[in-house]
Formats: sequence, structure tokens, C-alpha cells
Amino acid sequence: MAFLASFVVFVFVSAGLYLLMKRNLFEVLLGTIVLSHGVHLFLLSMSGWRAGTLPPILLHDGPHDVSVYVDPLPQALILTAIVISFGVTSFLVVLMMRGYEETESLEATEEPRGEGEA
Amino acid sequence: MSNVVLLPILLPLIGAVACLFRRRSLRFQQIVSGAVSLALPLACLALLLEVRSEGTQVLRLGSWPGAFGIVLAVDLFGAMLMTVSATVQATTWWFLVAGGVERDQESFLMHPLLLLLGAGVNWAFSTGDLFNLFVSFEIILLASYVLISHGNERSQLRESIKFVVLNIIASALFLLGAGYTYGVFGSLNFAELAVRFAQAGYPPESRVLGTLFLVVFGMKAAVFPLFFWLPDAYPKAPRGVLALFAGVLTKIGVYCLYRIFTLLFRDPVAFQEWFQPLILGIAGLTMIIGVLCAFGQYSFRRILAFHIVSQIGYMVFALGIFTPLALAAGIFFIVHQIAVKAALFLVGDAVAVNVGSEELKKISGVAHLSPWLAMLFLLAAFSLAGFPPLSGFYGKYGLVVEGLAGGHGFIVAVSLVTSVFTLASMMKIWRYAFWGERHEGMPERPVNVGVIAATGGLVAVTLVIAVASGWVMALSVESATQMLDRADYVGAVLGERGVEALRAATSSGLLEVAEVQP
Repeated sequence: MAFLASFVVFVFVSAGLYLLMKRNLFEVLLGTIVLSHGVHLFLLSMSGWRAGTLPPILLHDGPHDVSVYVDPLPQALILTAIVISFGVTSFLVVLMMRGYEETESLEATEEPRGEGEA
Repeated sequence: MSNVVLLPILLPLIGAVACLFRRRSLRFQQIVSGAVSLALPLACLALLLEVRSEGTQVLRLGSWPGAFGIVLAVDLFGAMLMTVSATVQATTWWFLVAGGVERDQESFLMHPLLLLLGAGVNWAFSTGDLFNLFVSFEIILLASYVLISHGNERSQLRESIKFVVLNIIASALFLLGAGYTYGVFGSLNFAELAVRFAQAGYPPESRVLGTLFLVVFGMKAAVFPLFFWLPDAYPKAPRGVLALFAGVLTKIGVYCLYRIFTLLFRDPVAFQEWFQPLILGIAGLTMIIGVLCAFGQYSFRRILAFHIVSQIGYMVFALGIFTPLALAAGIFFIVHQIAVKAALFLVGDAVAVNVGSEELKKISGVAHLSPWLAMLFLLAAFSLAGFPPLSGFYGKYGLVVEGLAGGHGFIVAVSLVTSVFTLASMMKIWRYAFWGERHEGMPERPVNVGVIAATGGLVAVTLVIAVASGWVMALSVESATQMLDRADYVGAVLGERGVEALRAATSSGLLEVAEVQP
């Protein structure tokens, strides 16, 4: 399981980083999303998830040995991180839309700098 | 347990929400924001005095025992930084209300955003665990994303997209670090981690984590290889707001570096072999490259923005020396920098408000227009360069003495050269902007005296730091001692159990990096 998790995280993070290198801002946006999800999956893999572990829902007739459950804390962390990345992503989308309205393009090009800038 | 700990976070948060109830009334927002901004420094000062008399103050939210719940812990270092940042925030409010920006711009959510920023800053200074630190960073960042693009100009859009994307990458790295910490050491609470790191005998994973966090917080603090975003993004912020950014935001990164390297990564071998050379190298390069980049600029704001980077080098240098007195000097220097950097940016913005531009080639002879403003600039600039009676001197003096004693003569030399260059580029601003004949088209007398008064208020704060330097230095020494000792912080969060565990773990053959001198 650890191997599978690390492979998935590897694919997500490297795909995200690849997209971040692009000149097209829409691809950059996708890159940030994929990168964030890769990191969220990494957090999930820190919850001690092995074959045979149960979701952290304690029932009266369920097993009382807590070591058979996965650690619920990373899931709480991911939930928070997802909400934050949702907010940041939506702000980034708005920024890019405003940029598109200004320049009619989503290419990241070098613009002439203003006066006083080197 | 103390509920006062929550006050610096709750006050601005409530104020920000209250502002949103009457979005159309600028007057209402100004009054709410003003009341909060004035109450905040007082609340922080009360907290500082309480921490000084009774040790680290802890609030366990929901009363969960030990490290299980969310913990807010304020030690002297955090309380000092909170107090001075709240003071900067109050003068920023004054500057805005006095007419620092256009009323249209000010009425568009600017006050609630500044309050949110303040709440995030105080949260970062008081949180006791890694994940809440991440959340508070995101609150600060979201507020600053909006504030940097506030005004909707084309160049602002371009820079803020870069700023947002870079910070998303930094946040991803931060989350990776937090997740890795939790996976290896099973906790996110600073005090609990300090104990567990020591108990595990600082395994190799702690070096990886230390380096990762050095990158993450180094990016927030804008140290040498990672500073490139700052001089592009910051000068785009609206007038007045930039002072708060420049004064406070990068220092949070430095605060986090101080926190993790005094509390968590205290392995003497790893520190000497790896972290110390790394931190010292970064410090020297940050100082000199920041100040050299400032030379080529012809805009008030961009020169000062590169100086932010350069001054961060001194703070990181203090961390690299890692003796009680060096850390005390570093803490003093951070407190001084928060005030003086914000004051310099306010001077620049006051010039822009009164003259209409802050491009050095378009203005001259501001000293004729307002001798007061020129005097304020001189005071702040000399303080930044570290002239003896002003506050910048004491921190730098401590650093030089401790640096020489620790055998880091080369970096000390670099820091002295940087000081000279700093003064030189301040003189460049002086020569272009304040000296000389009055530029044609400039008004007869200051159009807006209110913004100059607000600037004067902040410069007065830097003078207070200089006059009361004995007291501030004593406080810095106390907080450095408290941070290096760790028992106060760990004891306040975890109770006696934590202190005993820490003692047991550190006495079994593991030396502390720096022995605290009485």
C-alpha cells in the first residue's frame, strides 16, 4: 500500500510540476490543482493505511482495538487543506479571468516594465 | 491557561466580520477598523506584560489535555512581535483614514482585509502547532493576494498571478513537511515534537525536515535564492498597505525559522555539520545581494523592497550564530525592523500622496515642500543603516560582537559592508527625492498633512524603541533565554510530564546546542 500511495503521489506531483512550467496560464492553474491534490494524497498516506485497516468509525459492535483503524487526524488535515486550496484556486481563476479580459490572452509573456523598474 | 491569548486573534476577526455588515458605509468601516486597530496594541501589550511576569501563556481550545487539541501558546518572543506589528497596523489605519489612498479604493473592503491580515498575523505568532501555522499562513496569504491586486491595474494583475502561484507551491511544500512530520513523529504540536525529536535522538529524518522547513519559511522570509518574488509583488500593493506588508509579513517567516530551530532542531551535530554553514551562507548572500540589487533601482518602493531582503539577512545571521546574546540581538533587530521598515515605506507613500509620484526621476526637492517629511525620512533611514543613537545600531552591534566571538568574521565583514551600502542607497533616495530644486509641477505646500502625521507617528515609535532600548534589549535577552531553555514553553504546553521527558531525553548523551548563560 505504501508503494502504491507513493507512486500515486509521485505521478500527481510530477504532473503538477510539469504543468506549472508551462507558459499557458490555464495549464499553470491545472498544475496548481494537481499539485495540491498530490500533496493531499501524501497526507492521506500518513494515516497508517495498510491492508486490513478499517475506516475510523467506531461502532459499539465493532472492534475495540484502536490499532485496526486508520488514523483519522490526517483526514481532518486534508479536509482543511482542500477547503483552503478551493478558496485559493477560485481566487486564482478570477485573477486569470481579469487578466484575460485585459490582454485577450492566457500566455505568460514578458511585458515591458514600467518606469523605475529594472 | 489564559483567555487573553485569544484576544489579538478574535478582535480583528470580529472587526473584519462587523465591517462586512455595512459594506457601503466607509465611515462605519473606518470607525470599526479604527477601534480594533487602537485596541489591538493595548491588548498585545497587556499580553506581553502578563507573559513577562508569569511565563509562557497557553490556551487549550476545548480544554483538551496536553498535545491532543489545538493549542495557542505565546512566549515573550511572540508577544513582542505581536505588540510591534499591532502598532504598525494602527499607524497603517491612521495613514489610510488620513487619505493615503483614494476613497473609492479604500471603501472596497480594504479595512476588513487589513483586519483579516492582522488576525492571521497574530494567529501565526501565537499558534502552538504546525498545521495551525499553515492555516494562519493561508489566511495571511489570502488577504494579501486580494490586497496586492487591489486596484485592478494591469501590472498588479500580472504580479499577483505570479505571487499566488509561487505561494501555492510554497504551501504545497509546507503541507508536505507537516505531513512528513506527522508521519514520522506522530504529532504536530511544537512542544510535543520537541520532546519526541529529542527522545528519538534526532534521527536523519529531522535533518530532511529541517531543510524542508528552511526552504518553506525561507521563501516566506525572502532569503537569498528565494527572494525573487518580493521586489516584484510588494511594490504593487496600495499605498499605506505596503507598509504593513513590508514591516510584518516577511518577519513571520523569520519568526518561524527562529521557532523551529530553537525548539525542534536542536541536534548539535546536525547543526554544526549542516544547518549552521547553510544558514550563515544564506545570511551573507541575502544581505549583500539584496543591497546590491537595490542600487540599480529608481523607484522609492523598489529600492526599499530590496532592502527588506537585505535586512532579513541580518536576522538569519543571528540564527546562524546561535548564542543567547546573538539571538537576543536578532530579536531586537526584528522588532526594530518591523517598525522602521514600515516607517520608511510610509514616508515613500506620503511623498507619493503629496507629490503624485514615487519614481525618483520624476520628483525632487521634497524637502522644500515639507521639511518635516524630509526629517522623518532621515531619521528612519539612519536608523535602518544603524547609526549609533538610533534603534538599528543596538541590534547590529550585538550581532557584530557575537559574530566575532563565534568566529564568523567573514560574515561580520559582509554585514558591515552591507550597512555602508544601505546608507549609500538611502542617500541616493535623499539626493533624488528630497534634495535639490523643487520639481516643476509640484504643489506649493503639502496637500495632505494627515498622512505626514501618521508617518510621524510610526517614526516616533522607532524613536521610542531607541530611547527605551535598554528595556527592549532586556526583554530580548529574556526571550532569547526563554527560547533556548525550552523548559518554559514545553512546560506551559505539556505540563511537568513534558519537561521531565525533555530533560531525560537531552541528558542521555545529547548536548544542547547552546548552554544558556546566567
